[in-house]
Amino acid sequence: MIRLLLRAAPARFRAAPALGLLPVLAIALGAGAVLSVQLVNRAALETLDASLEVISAGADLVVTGLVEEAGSVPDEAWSATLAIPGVRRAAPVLRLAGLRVGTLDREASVPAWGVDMVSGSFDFTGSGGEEGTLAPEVFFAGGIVLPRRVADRLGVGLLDPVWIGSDGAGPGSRRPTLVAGTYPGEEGRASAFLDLAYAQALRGRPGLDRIELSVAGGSDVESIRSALAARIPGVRIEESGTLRAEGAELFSAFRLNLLALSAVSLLVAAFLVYASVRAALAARRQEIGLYRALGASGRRLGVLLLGEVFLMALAGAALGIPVGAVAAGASLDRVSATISNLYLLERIESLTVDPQVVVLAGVVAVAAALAGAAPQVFAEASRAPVTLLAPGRASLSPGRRRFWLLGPPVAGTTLIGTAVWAALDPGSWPALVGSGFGAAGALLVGAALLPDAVIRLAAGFRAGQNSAVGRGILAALREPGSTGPPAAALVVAVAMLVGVSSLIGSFRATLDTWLGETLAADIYVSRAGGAGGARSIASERRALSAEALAVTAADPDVRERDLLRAQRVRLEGRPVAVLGVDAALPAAGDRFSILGDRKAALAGFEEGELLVSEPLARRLDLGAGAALPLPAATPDRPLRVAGVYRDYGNEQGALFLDRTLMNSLYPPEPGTPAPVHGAALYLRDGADRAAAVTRLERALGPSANVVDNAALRSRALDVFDQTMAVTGLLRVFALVIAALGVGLFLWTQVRERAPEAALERALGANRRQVAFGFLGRTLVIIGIALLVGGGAGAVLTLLLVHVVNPLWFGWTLTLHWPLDVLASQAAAVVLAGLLAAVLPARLASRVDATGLRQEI
Amino acid sequence: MSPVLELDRVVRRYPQADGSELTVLDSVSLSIGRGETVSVAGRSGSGKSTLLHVAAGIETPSEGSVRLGGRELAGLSDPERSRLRGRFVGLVFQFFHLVPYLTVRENVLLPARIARVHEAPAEDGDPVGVGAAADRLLAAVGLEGRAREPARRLSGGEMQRTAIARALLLRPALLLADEPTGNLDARGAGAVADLLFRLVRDRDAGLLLATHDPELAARAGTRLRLRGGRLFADELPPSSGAR
Repeated sequence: MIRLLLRAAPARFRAAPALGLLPVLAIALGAGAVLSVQLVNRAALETLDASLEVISAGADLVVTGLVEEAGSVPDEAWSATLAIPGVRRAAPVLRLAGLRVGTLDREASVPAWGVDMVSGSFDFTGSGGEEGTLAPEVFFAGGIVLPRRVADRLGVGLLDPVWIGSDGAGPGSRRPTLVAGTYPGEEGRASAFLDLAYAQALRGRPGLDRIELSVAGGSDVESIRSALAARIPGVRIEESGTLRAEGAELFSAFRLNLLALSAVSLLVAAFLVYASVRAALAARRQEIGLYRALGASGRRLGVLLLGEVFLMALAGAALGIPVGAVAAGASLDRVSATISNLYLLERIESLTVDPQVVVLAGVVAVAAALAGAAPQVFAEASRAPVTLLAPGRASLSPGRRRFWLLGPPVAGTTLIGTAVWAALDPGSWPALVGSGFGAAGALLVGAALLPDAVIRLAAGFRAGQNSAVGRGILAALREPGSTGPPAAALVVAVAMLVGVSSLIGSFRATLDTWLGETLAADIYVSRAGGAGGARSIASERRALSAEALAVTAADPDVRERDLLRAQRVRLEGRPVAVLGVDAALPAAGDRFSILGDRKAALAGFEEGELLVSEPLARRLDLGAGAALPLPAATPDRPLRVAGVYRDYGNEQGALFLDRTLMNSLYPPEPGTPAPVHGAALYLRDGADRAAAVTRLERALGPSANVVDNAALRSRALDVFDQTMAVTGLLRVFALVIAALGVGLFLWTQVRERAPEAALERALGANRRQVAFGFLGRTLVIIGIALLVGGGAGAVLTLLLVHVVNPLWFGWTLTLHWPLDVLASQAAAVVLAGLLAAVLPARLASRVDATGLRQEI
Repeated sequence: MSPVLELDRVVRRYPQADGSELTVLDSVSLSIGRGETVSVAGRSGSGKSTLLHVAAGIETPSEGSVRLGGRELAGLSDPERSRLRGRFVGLVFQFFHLVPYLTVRENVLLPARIARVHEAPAEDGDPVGVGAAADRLLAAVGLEGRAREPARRLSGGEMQRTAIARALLLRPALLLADEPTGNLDARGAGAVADLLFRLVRDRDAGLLLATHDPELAARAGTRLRLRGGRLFADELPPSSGAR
């Protein structure tokens, strides 16, 4: 029988190519969505890994600065570590996020490490055992070791001349050197190596990023850790795996978000498979009946039919791999920008198509296809042969009629009810549901189960039967079994569109309001090359020079200055921005959007207490009055939290304290003033802001960024839009798959309804009327999708705004419905549905009355 | 009285896979007036259904002319032919061809919905609402009690009676019936045949009936047989036509 089925497969495909191609395409898009998200996630993780990688072979412990800034481990710490008994080797390391290397006609950007070749043991062999080349004397003299991939791109080899310079710096900062070696490196993770002293020179200041320690055999790691802590204050000592684990934890929520969005595409694809398998079974009902009559068991036949779906799914998954790789490549820049904005990582430079990820995406897509097909395949194959062989059109409702009538709406309503409950009262639910993602999944599945019941409720519709569209609507409503699956696919897509768009709209509106409330100063000045926002902290942020500060103080229109000192520390394994401002500055009273008792919070702040950002407060469960042991250069000193402020600029968390207090906690190096990283300037009443910006720009020159309030606000919103742009691709994926579903449904309807169309033609209907009948069917699907999907999308929005965001990102958002965006998306859904209907309607209109030789 | 249907030397050929042509109707001529009943007998595949399709304007003849109600079909566009068929011809099929998800009454009303008419001519010639006309017809075929039921729940005989009511809703001048009892048992076939001939007579319509049932064929005023694509008077020596 397997041979029979296989032999008949090409003929079946020739007879109805779209029936095979469309689900293959849907699976391809589903697999593509999953693959692209996995590839991008993995690339982001690899980039993070590469920057936190312990590069000295055999290192057990890593010493990093408490303050999370480049060069925050003092040079002296290196010699101090070497003096500790049990430390076998101590390798100082410095990371240059972007180093440009070039020849006369080519250049490339490559991350680089500054290392001391003598103290560390660095492995320059490839994963295949291929060894690198190295000229140590050239390396010590300032040469650079390049990964072979980069060397090949530049067309250079050992001892060839190249230039090196900091990424973003002008050609004037380049210096010539020689290639001191090349090594195979791992694809996508290869870095260049420079001698530590030369790397520090390129960075322009002393200090190490970390020291990697190897412990002598038999030594107790804990005692070494204690000795280190006592001897080198102001550093953090971790076991070598911890840094990477913390890094991965950093953006796990972001990765989970992307994964959830790709899962929606897969869910829609599964419904599409359901619809196509249903149509295929209807077309082959008598064939199945014949096999059953000839003695094939329902179970065996079901397995064989499922085998066909499996082959179709394999073809779809195979097609989805290049789709996913292309989509991942296309979205890499967006994701890279998003991750850089949110997590201050390095740029994601390259994408590696990992066979494991490809297999995973394929397996997931095939599993989704089988899940979509299996229930109905076995239900149909197990029906009595006499039923299958009976003339007339197939009714695919299985025998357990009551269950199939009541089961889906009851289950759907229960799941949606669960989601609504979770949205209204997240605390009362278990972690998975309460955290929002579980509830969102339940909501989408529940919504997908409802169209069938809605169609049954609307089946009493009788109006408008005089029009062809009205008859099409009636036909769609009277046959929920065929209209339900494509409607369900579109419902899921619409719910996702509404939910994600409304979340983004709410977020943007909240951000806009927040910026309006908190950007109180007229002009913001920061050092050029640092991060744009006054409150954001870049790993390479640099302080304003004393001259620049003097210029801002001397400007005739400046009434007051709010000076900002910024640095990062690590709190419970995550980087936190510590920001010092002049707490008592009278002009700056509105700069915080305080949650709760504003007056008490600001009073406490002026008296040396902390204001913590909402994400940090949620993560560490902090509130007014809580004590927070701030890791400081001086011995830990718990500070009291005065209040919590809204902060949509930093998911990792930030806290404000008075700048004087900060300078005492983190004293500058002896003989140097405390750094100031930004200045917020308040102008006198009636001063010309644009003129002041121009004047300051002229006085400060290219070394400083001078932006006024409006420009900073606009820049922040631009960054937000850029951050959210990555979700656009996945939304388009879901909509395209759903539109394909509608098209597939209508196409199968052309086949199933050909005798009905022929009857209409025989009774006097013209081709246009038949085509318009198909339009009516489409309108039902679109209408149900907008109604049920819109409702589910609204609940999804509540979940995302009130549950997922506060719990995962610590952001309280104000609900805002972006009506213009939603209207345009509704129009896109209608348009996509109608476009999907065009071809089937044309095919249907070609049916003529001679088709009546078949049965209805 | 002018004929409601005139076929003049109609030829219908179908191209074959080997490039040749199969002639199904070969110079067939036929004329039916109001109140006339004509049966066409023949073996399966002899061309009976094709003859009815050509007569209804569903298929276009390869040669010859077809006139429905005095109008030459060859000169009409597809929408015009469709409209003429909807108003002028009633069709009854062997497999009933009811729309399963519509009720019995909705099935009967289908031609009026397609033609977008709200009134149908009554026995006295005055117009009557299509709803009332459908109810009268359902009463006439004995299905008034099942009007609101989905068509899929009917027995074969009930389905065919519904199909006959549907065919007669707009009081067509010509009724074309293709094996109307072919899918029924003997008792059901007799009842449907009685109904068909009674209603055709009551409404003064012409009837062209394709059947291989000799008893049914015998009830027609004119009995013809299709053989080798040509039309002969039944049980009479071959002739080139039945006029």
